[in-house]
Amino acid sequence: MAYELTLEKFKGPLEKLLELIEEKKLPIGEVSLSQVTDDFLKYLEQAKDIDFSMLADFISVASRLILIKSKSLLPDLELSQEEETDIKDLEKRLALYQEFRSAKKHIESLWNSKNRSHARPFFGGLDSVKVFYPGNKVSEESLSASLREIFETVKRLSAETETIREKIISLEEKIKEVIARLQEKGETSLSHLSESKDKSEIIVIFLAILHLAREQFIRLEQGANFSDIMIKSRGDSAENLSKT
Amino acid sequence: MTSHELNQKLAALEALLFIHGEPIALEKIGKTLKISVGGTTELLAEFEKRLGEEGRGLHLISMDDRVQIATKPELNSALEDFVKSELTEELTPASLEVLSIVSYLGPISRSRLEYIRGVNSTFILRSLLLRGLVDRHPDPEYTLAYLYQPSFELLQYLGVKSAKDLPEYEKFKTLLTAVETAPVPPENPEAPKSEGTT
Repeated sequence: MAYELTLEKFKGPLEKLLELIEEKKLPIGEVSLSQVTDDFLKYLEQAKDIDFSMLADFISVASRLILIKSKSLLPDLELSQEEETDIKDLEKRLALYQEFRSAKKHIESLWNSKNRSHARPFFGGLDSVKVFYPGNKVSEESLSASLREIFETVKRLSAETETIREKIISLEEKIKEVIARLQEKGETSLSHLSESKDKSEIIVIFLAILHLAREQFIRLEQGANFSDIMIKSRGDSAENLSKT
Repeated sequence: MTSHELNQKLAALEALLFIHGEPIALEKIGKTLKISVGGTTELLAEFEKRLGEEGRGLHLISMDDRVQIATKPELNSALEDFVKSELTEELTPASLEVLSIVSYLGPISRSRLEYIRGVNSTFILRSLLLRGLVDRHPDPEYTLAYLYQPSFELLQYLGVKSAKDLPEYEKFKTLLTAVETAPVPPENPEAPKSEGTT
């Protein structure tokens, strides 16, 4: 679980704060907290990959520090009852955290000591004891027969592989086809060209005539919205047509 | 109870703890041996006293209303060649921190633990649960929250008979009362935030 590992690598906000205060050899209090505010914010800024879930906790501590700092800079600043409580709360937690570090040491030394106690698992019935009781119907044949059955079932269930072949029509091909048709008849229409063709092919035909119209090889005419599009070759470019 | 009767009950208790192996509730002991809850506690105290003698290799590990019989931790060196395959993994600093808070202050809710640590501890608690180092049970006061405490296996591994035997246990337990009176965010994650907070 990589997520957790990165989480465990980082110091928590209280731990970091305590570290900063102790570096300055100061007792925990408003004075020391306001003095380490900048360092704490700098750490927060530089530690790029603090986990999101931890980031919120860091910011919550940082906001209280900024409050303490503002108070020290602006002696006239009046704090609300709640803000005062918040500051006292942070001091209290920090002091507790500091005290509790020796508990951590105790657990660590017990963890590393070789004095361990051993208990035994429940021993009260067949449930906990490994028993080998295959029953009398298990034989080489019965096992292979049931395996065969499973195999057959799986084979029936898995769908046959179907090969779906689709002809891919290129735009170029279609352009040539339209030109050929025009040379033959001089005039055609979209509905005529797309007779009994599937949707994707009709789209390619449509693109082909648009392309030809842009190049001014053909002239398109449409009487009304959604009516059939008539396609005529431009007489003067008949030679160009055959070259394309 | 005559001393003969007492000895018979003690023998039955020893046999029961042996065959059960795992932690067993006092109530179940009482039912099996047909004695009252008070009688069970007394019997266990007497049994524990006798186990304390130098010539005995076992002791009782207890937590809440459950006890388990296990080898005395100081015998581990004598058994070392026999008992192998222990987990010798190191604890990460964060795991160690959570484990010590749970051991000293358990049963403890996640929100209180996070209040002390000042940081979200969901994932570390989950990994400690998976490793069998801590146990949890629903908080009787808040239906959606759990209380975490050390597992019997952890107590065995640390070589203590109960959490109360941890060094300076009373001191840290007293420290907690400071936290106990402090405001703690709501235990129930779905509960509305208290008024006045923005």
